[in-house]
Amino acid sequence: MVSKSRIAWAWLALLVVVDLALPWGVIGTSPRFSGPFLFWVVWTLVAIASMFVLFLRWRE
Amino acid sequence: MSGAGWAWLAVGLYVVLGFAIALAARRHVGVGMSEFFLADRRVGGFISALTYSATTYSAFMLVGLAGLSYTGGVGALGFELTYLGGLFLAVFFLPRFWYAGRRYGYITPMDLLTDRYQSRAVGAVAAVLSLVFLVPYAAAQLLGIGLLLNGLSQGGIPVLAGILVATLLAIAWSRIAGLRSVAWTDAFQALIMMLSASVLLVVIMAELGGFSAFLARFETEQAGLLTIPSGSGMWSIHMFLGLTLPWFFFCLSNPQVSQRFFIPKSVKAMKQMLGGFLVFGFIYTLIAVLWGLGARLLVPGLSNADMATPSLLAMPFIPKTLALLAMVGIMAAAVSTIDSILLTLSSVWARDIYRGVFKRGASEERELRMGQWVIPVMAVVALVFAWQVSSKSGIDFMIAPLSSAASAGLLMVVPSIFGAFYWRRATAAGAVSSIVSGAVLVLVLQVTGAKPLGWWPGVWGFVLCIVVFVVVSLATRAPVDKADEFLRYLKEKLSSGRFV
Repeated sequence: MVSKSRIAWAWLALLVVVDLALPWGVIGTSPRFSGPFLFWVVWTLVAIASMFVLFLRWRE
Repeated sequence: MSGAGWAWLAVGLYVVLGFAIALAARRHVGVGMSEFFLADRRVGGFISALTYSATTYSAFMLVGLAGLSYTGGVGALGFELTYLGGLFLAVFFLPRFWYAGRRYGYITPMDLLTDRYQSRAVGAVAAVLSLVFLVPYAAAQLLGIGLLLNGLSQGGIPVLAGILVATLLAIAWSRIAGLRSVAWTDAFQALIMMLSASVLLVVIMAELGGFSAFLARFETEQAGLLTIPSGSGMWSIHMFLGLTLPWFFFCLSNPQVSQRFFIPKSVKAMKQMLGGFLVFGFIYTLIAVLWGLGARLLVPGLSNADMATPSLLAMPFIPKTLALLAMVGIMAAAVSTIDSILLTLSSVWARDIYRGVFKRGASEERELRMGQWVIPVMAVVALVFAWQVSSKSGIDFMIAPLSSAASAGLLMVVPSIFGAFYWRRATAAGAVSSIVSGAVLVLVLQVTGAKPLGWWPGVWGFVLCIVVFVVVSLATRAPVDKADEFLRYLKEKLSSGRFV
């Protein structure tokens, strides 16, 4: 079974790839706030939500 | 009263209040290195979150990032939010630093490396790296204050005067009660930063006809700045990675930040620190970028983009009281970053260089005195650097790139930190050779201005650093007894606390 730690590292790697691939490969030329601007806001909210899911489980 | 008079009055009030808080913090101070530099590892979650926020976010944000947004548009948002996404690393490393710090009594991140690799050379080399590269970063903060006061007073306050005031405050507040005075003043200032920036954003958006009108007008007048690589082509993937790569690892590479991983008093406080910072960072980043984009519409055509915020605050539609409050908020943020850097550098000097290299049998009392002595010296060095930079212009001397260039050098310690926590075979020789080779390459490329194949110094340095670290570690003997004991202890703690 793959450990939670490895899943978390893989998720982070996926976030990084998406962070670069979408703005430079797909949506970068959209001259509107619904383009790269909205993408990065949503990307960050997903990253932050992922972090909360992981660290809210921490126990003393 | 003149613009300069009002600005000096606001600064005066801020100074008095800051000293009152710092002196109040002094009443709680005990003795020893851990007490002075880490507040005895007993900081609550709320204060931890705010001091982490104020240390990280500084003049760079509302002056430097706003300037970068003014020039380059949406790419600046991606750059700064990618940094915030990089805080994911703290989910892995924060508990590891915290548990290791408590068990082994580490004062600095370099102290941790020294013990884990069983080599004083590793700590000393990482310490020198910090001393060299944190100076430009501290200087960027000083420069931000100088430009801000100069802009708001319409030239009445010289840039050098602002730099000088900030330097003296940073020295005083880090000396008064160490981390206690720094953390308390940070916390108060972080609240002022957020409040003033939010209120000002509302006023700016109102001037532009409301948020929806701002969006529509910007899409019409500045559509190119909403694209990647932007209308001017500024945000090539090379520049984005060149700026972002060091920033992504900021929470590990910058010792004034990673040293804060040692200070929460409990696991609950750790969670509050991380969660509080993420919320603060997300909101504050959006505010800074929207300031920059708003300035692009309201004060177009500035030759120095770092003047975007000062020019905005000096506009007639901004109430003077609010402008001065914002100015104080930005100044406080910058000072809180500088005094944190000074405090960390002084602990690094005392623990990892003075005691680690020159005087191994030094008493803790003497070690502490040496650390306190070096605070003004480092401050003066940063002041001179800031003064030199203030006379230059161009993208390389904007605050954001200057800060990121400093982090590019600090990035070279990251493979050694990963190795310390995740690789039993990592060796001291691997750590030292990777830090030295990577840092030298970064310095050479930065000084010569060379960007081979278009990639920035931090990218090349990081690649070299990783390769050297792995190859040299595989070719040399690892301190496996220490590694096994260190990693076994952390594994036990982390598995019982549901950490990843």
